Amino acid sequence: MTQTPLAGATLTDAAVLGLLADRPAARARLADLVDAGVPSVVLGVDRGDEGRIDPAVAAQALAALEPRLGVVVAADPTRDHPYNLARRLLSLDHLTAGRAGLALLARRPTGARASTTSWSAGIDDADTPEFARLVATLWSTFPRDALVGDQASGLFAHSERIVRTDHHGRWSVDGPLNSPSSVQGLPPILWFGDADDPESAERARDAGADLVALETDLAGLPGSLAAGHTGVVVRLPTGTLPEAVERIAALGLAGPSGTGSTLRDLLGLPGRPVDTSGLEPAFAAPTEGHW
Amino acid sequence: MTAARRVLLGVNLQGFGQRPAAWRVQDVHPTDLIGPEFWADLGRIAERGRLDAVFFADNPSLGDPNVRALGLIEPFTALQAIADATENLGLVGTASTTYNDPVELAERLLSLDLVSGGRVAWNAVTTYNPAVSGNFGVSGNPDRTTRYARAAEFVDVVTRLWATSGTGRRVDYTGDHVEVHAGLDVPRSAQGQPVVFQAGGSDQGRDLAARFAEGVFSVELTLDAAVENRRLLRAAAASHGRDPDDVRIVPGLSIVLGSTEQEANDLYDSLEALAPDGYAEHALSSYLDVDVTTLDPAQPIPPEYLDRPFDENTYGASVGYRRTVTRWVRENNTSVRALVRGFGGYGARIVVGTPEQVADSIETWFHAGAADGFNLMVDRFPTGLAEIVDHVIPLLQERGLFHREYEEPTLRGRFRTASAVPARASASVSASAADLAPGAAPERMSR
Repeated sequence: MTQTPLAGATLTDAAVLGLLADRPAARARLADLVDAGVPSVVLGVDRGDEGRIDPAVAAQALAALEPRLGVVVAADPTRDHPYNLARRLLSLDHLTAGRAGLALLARRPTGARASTTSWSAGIDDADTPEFARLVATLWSTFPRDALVGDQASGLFAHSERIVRTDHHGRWSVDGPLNSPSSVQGLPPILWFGDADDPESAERARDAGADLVALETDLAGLPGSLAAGHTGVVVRLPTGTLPEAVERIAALGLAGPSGTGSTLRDLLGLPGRPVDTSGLEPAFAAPTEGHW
Repeated sequence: MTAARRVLLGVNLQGFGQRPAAWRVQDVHPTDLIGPEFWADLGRIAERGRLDAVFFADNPSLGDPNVRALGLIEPFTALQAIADATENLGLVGTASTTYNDPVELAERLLSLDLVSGGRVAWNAVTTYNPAVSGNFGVSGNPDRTTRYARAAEFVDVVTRLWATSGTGRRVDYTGDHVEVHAGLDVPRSAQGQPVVFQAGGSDQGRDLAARFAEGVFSVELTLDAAVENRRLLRAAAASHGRDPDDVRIVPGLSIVLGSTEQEANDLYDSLEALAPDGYAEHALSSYLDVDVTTLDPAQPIPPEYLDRPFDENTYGASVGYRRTVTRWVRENNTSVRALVRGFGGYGARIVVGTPEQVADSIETWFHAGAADGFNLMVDRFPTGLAEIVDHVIPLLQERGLFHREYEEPTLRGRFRTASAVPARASASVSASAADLAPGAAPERMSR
């Protein structure tokens, strides 16, 4: 499997709001984007300052308008609790047939708002790798093939295969997550940081990120691609989306590969199956008449 | 001319249905619960029946799916998929005030309200399921007083945040439990901001509802108690300076339909026979805080179990359910066996019968002032919902109790129009029946 050179495009909140204001036009615009060789959009990394929409709501709305488009949603570990975030992202993944991924930022943008919830006290950028590993573990706790649904016997699930997280670190989470695992195994985790920052690279490894994004603007895109980089993510401007899509199309990148439709497929990333080894079962094995 | 007051109807989307064995008697697979088509289909059926809303209960933890598979998808994510498949249906989701961040939740729900065209409601709960706390790093859920003190601040600040949308203003709020210095820059939705629901039946829950809620999911098993509780809640809302009609009270109502009463009873019994062993006994035991399987099934539940005082502040389960179920047991205490047989709503009132019997029950409760509407608990999804839409809804429409078309596109708009005229006194039901009968409807629609 070969990684696509261009992994995606960031959209500002204002750009999303503009798209959703005219959905028929948005369908055409997003189709053009995919045809130009952009496999995914990334929400919440570059929010802009002209209006807000929740990145996961935006991702779901855009994915519904263009069935070939992957969606990557940024999380903020100082605000989102890992259980809540893991669950929402996995639910989005289910409803988009495996087209969702998670973006994590090496450094929170300046001006980001701190949460006042008890679990967020003292959480900072250094904790993001633990957040990523914990989310990936939660995504693994409920293997979807544990769901059997044997109507004759009444066995709904091999519940003994569902495991606890028993995670105790900056966050303490018993698990299991209450959503079965993704069709793509684990949804991919994309890391956004300064390419010249050695601490960012170290944290990306520590987080177990599937892909380190290399951000560029439209002007820098041809150079980034020509240099043979992978994981390139282009920042799209808020107001001139059609022109931006035309400029990308002019680069002659390969369109959708057609080899598969999950975000992993779209990005050319290797599979990452769920792994429950070392984790304790959450429930006793079902026995006849007691399930 | 003002439209007549009508029933509000929502449907509680409980997995494959309220009957635990519902998945065994329909052409379904467990993974349907995490696919978009199952939810879109339910949304389309509900909208075909002109139901006001669909509803997801929730708590962030996993119970053994072999007992009951619920909550395998996050409510507001599923509601967004339903929104994409529908145009008018209201979308009510549950989120905890104990285990969420108020700014994050406010931004997310207003965003969904925006993209759905103003159809979202938030059911604010404090979460009592003990399995949840371990997922959030605390050794136990806070006691009820603490939970509700935080909930009041949380709901207050979320609605204030929503009110800042499009204004450029920010909220500076310093409470005992919640501190927020932020604004929301999400554009205003078609209904301004999401509707707020509340579901707790404790004293603290009712106070929260009286202050903030526009909709209340209540637990009522007996008519007199429901009338009294609705009167008290409306009075409490008035004492907070609100119009009592701004609080719509919708008890749960479980339904198992048949074309005859016998057919409905047979269906009910066949579904119970396939349920996990002891499911109804366990539900009754947990609500009463006594293991009924240790009692003589042929005898009534001894009164000492029903008369025990309990500390509402530290009680680990639902106070509302315990109060309601205890009262119902006192009124129906013939034998443990009969109580379990009659407990098929698992705390909600249940009607096992014909479409006419269901419609009669809805009409009686509505005109008695026991409810502004109902949160329907359906035996099987999708089959049972389609049966209700095809056989019960037309009866309610013929009786002038339910709308034939969505007269307002937003959920809040429908709440307002549904309460345009005060409830008729129960004594005048028969005299006014002609006014409400089929002929009235076309006139209303042509206005």
